[in-house]
Parts: sequence; structure tokens; C-alpha cells
Amino acid sequence: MSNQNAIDLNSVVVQGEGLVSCDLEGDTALMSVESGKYYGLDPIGSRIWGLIEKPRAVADMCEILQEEFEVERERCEHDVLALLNELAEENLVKVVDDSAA
Amino acid sequence: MDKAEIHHYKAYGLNIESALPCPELAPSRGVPDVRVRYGAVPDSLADATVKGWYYQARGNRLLLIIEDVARYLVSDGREIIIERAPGSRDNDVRLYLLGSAFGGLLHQRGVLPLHGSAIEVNGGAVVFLGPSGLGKSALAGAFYKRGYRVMTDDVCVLSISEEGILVVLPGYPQLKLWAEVARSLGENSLELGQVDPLVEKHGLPLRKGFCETPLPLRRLYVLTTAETQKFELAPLKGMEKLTALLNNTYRFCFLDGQGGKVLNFKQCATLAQHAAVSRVIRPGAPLLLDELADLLERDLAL
Repeated sequence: MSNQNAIDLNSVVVQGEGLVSCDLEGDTALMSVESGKYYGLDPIGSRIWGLIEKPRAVADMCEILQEEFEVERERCEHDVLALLNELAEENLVKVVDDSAA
Repeated sequence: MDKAEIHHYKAYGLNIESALPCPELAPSRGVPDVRVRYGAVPDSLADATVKGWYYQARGNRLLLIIEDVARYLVSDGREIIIERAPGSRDNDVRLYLLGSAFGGLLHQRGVLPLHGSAIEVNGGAVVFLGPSGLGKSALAGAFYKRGYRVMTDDVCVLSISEEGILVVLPGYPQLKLWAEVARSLGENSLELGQVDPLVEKHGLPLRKGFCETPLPLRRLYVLTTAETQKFELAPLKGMEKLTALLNNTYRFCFLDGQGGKVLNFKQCATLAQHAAVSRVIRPGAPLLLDELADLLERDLAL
């Protein structure tokens, strides 16, 4: 996997296309229409998923999450970036151009 | 064989007009939803998007190729054309018709066929899910012996509305049991016909013990087995529930990514959101049927 498009705090990200999702008692299940693969997000992952329904800067997202989950800034940023990059590898999120956001 | 003779049955919530006699099905006088007829069936589907060793599918067309038995072409949820192999037996042709061919047809009709058996408990449907060999039919048989009515065996059809109204549709009045299980339930297996040439399963006609009306879903049990000494029973939540339902979708392999799997995902998700699902872990052999039935009876009484 190329790291060229790695997501950082300045990236603006949004949910990928061609996905069907559903809420299950706080978890989120996703299916990629193209690959037919299934994915599951825990409640925190689900909250992050909800925040990128529309394009959003990662730094902004981290601020919201820090408050909601009472977690330290560094830890929050680290975890959020790790998840977003994981999701990006599966084409579940995409990076949008800053100017388009 | 009288070529002109047409039979009318009901199964899986459908009225069926069939050129092939299916004595295990209940008769029906309703307007047919599905037509089963003999005709020429191709040996491949052009541009199939799904291909397996005995099936090919594209959109609302499914082709099944069962060597020495028949080829089946299932279309638009309304028609099944059968081309029999020379010398095939009615029994074998019916086995794949009522299993795989109807499984594909039910997906085409937009209802959800699950791999499971169902019984009636106090006006609601209780469903036992699990892959072949885990004791779904045997368990339904044990409840049948206790006076419960059976709704379906092996293929359990759910009608799911977007608002989450879940209804189980009756299959047909027969239980398929291993000879040993039939004997343990007090049935003389020699009097029952063998339904599958590959495994020694026998058809037990249900008559009065069959519930032929659709019922609201009450509970789903997923049967699993493990290296354990005693039964374990636990409610499933969230993703676990969804995964169990996806894994127990009947003939999931026929579904393509674009249409079939998306619909299946949405149906299983709605089901997971609205239904109570528990997992039953049972010890491997022997199949302690009575103990399992006792356990589930107690669980349902809560």
C-alpha cells in the first residue's frame, strides 16, 4: 500500500461511495456494494463514521471527539488517524480536496 | 407419466403450479404465484456474474446443474423450468427443486430464506438456525413429539417489512430426519421414504402437526457446536447478530454483489435490529435432544 495519500490532521475526509450501512445498537455495519465485503464499527468508530457523513477536517473531528469521550488530545488524534487510515485502505473513506470542502 | 397433468400446491407462502408431482407439499386451490414446468434448459448462462460448481446466476436468473438429476432454470421469482437427465428419479428431481431451486426463487422474490427449521410456540414462530448436521430438523422433531406444531424444515422464509414487521412463512408438512433420530422419536424409519440419495435422511409427513399459517417471529436460535460438556445459551447483540444471520442465509452463494447481496444485507440488518437472537452452543456427539428441548422450553417461558 502506498502511503502517498495517508490521512493526517489537515486532511478533509468523507464517507466512501457505494456503501450500504446500518446501525445496530451502537455498532455500525457496512457493506461495500462493489466488493461485497462486510465491515463492523464499534460505538466510537460509529461516531467517527457519523461525523464524516459530510466532508470534515480531521483536526475538527478530533476536537469534537475529545470533548465527547473525555480523552487526551494526543491519544485521540493517534486513534482517529489510525482508524481513518485503516478505513481508507478499504476505500471506506476518501480524502477530499481542501478547496472542495 | 401423464404429460398434461398439472398439480397445485402451496409451500414457502406461495401457490405453486407444478408439472412434477410433489406429494410432500400441501395441496392448494389458490391462483399460482410460481409455475414449475418441464422444458429445455441451457447448459450455461451468458454473462453470469456468479458462478459455482453447480450454479450460475445473473440478475433474476439462476441456472442449477445437478449431474444425473436435472438442470433447473429459475427466473424472475415466478418460474422454474426443469430439464431432467435421462433415467433421473422423481425423488431426486424434487429434492433439488424444493431445496436449491426454490431457495434461489425466494431470493428473487425479495423474501429472506434462512437455513433453519421453525416451530409454533404460543402463536409465534421460533426458528432454529444452523448449517446442515447441527440438529435443526431433529430439534424441530423433538418439539413436534412434545405437541408443538412445525412450520418448516431446513428452509425458513421470512417476510420483512422496512418497518421491521417480521413474519415467518410456513414451508411444507414434512420433517427430514436421520434414521437414528427418527427412531429415537419413536418413528419407524423404514416406513418413511428416504429423501436424499446421498445421506440417510427420511421424510416424516406431519399432517396435523403442521402449522400452515404465517406467524410473527418470536425468537431465533443459532445452533453451534463446540468442545464443551454442557449447553450454553447467550443472547447475541449488534454485529454478532448480523453476522449470524448473514452466515445462515439459505443459498447465500447464489447472490451477486450488486443486487442480491445488498438486499440480503438490508434484510438481515432489519432482522438484527428487530428480532431477538440467541446462540446455543451444544456439545458435539451425542445429540442430547431432550435436554436441548428442555433448555429452550425454559428459555422461551421467560
